[in-house]
Amino acid sequence: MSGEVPPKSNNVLNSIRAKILSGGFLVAVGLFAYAQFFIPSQAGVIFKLQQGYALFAFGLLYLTLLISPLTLAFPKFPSAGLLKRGRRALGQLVFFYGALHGGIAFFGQLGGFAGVQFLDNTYRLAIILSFSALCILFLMTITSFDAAVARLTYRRWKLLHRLVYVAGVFLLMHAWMLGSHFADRFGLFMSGMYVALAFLISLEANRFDIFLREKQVYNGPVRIFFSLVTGLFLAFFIWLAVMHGVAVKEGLV
Amino acid sequence: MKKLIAILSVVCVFGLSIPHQTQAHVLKSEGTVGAVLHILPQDDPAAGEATTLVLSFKDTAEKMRLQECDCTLSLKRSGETISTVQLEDDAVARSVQRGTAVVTFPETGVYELIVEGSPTSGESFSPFLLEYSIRVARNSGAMTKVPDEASTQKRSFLADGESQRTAAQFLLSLIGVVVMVGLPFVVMNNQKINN
Repeated sequence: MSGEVPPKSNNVLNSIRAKILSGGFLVAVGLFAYAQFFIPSQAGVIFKLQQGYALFAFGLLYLTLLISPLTLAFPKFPSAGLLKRGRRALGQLVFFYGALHGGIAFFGQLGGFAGVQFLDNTYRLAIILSFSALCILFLMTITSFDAAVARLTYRRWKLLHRLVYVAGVFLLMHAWMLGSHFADRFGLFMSGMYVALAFLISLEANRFDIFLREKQVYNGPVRIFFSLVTGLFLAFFIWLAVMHGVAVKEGLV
Repeated sequence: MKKLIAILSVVCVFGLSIPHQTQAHVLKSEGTVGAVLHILPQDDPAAGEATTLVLSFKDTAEKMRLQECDCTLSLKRSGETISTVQLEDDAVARSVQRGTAVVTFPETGVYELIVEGSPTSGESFSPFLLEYSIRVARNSGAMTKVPDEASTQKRSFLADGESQRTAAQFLLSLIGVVVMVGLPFVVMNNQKINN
């Protein structure tokens, strides 16, 4: 929305992207080695790996989505330029971890294509959503190089890479439907998740307001979407705090 | 390079600290019948604590009905049967064939879960046998063989633990409130400075 041109990296091997990618691969190998050596059952290894890779994919996707609105709202944010340059590598790692998670879960836990016939509709829908997201991430990964930007033209490339938001929503729905950590909607993990999501969505709303100003759609004194989103999340967190506060006070847990 | 190593170390510690959970959402099938196993709470069973096992069945021949199934669930460890319970039809879930059973794992370790089913009347569907592997990696703390006084202390400790958990949730909600109140001020202020 801010119309920024993707930063080019002249020396790929020494760039931040290369460092992020190599770090990501090392972490994936580290997790695999840890699971192999410290988990006694093979089924446990499969579960641990698919869950670990899913959490990393989700975390990295969050970080990838956060960088643009964060650096727009806070241009003097430390290492803002470095973060922007590393964004493409983070996106590539999201696909890498997502593919690992999907492959292990689908073929290792759900019996592959033969197992699909035994899954209920909720499960099938969750898998279709995540597979669609993975396809989007794949397209983004193979076009995440300077040559692809030149070949596609920047306008088309940007349009294609906007699909990351669709992928993000699909993955969130997938996790909401199947994720073990997402099962307790007001548990510790989800409480943290709501704070993280509220922060991201608020910054995106701020970004959207700036976009509206740039396009001369709305030039008023109030940032409509930012105010609306932060207000709604504020009400939600007050309600959540009251609910948890009452539970602690009354000893309901 | 030092920064990279430091970041990698933090990430690895995070990765290794992911809770040890069991292998949930596993599909097993035999013939035309398949079932996905879910474990409550949060796919993370604890030894010494009641754990609900949920099995979502699907028969591709559409002949199997849980009401007409003599379905048993056996919990084994190293080939020795620990308990056998009847699978109950979850009447709430009308859209899917969902059976539940409550079991208690005596201690941490790897267990085999055997689900056997056969029709109660006639030959409506073929008998099936599904085998799952479950790993219990944590203790609830509420073990049975504990002296009374210690047991009371342990229960009290557990209650404190739960309170702390909810207190952490309360704290996170407050952080959410602070972020949502503070963010507009910080962003607006930042905008003024940049303008």
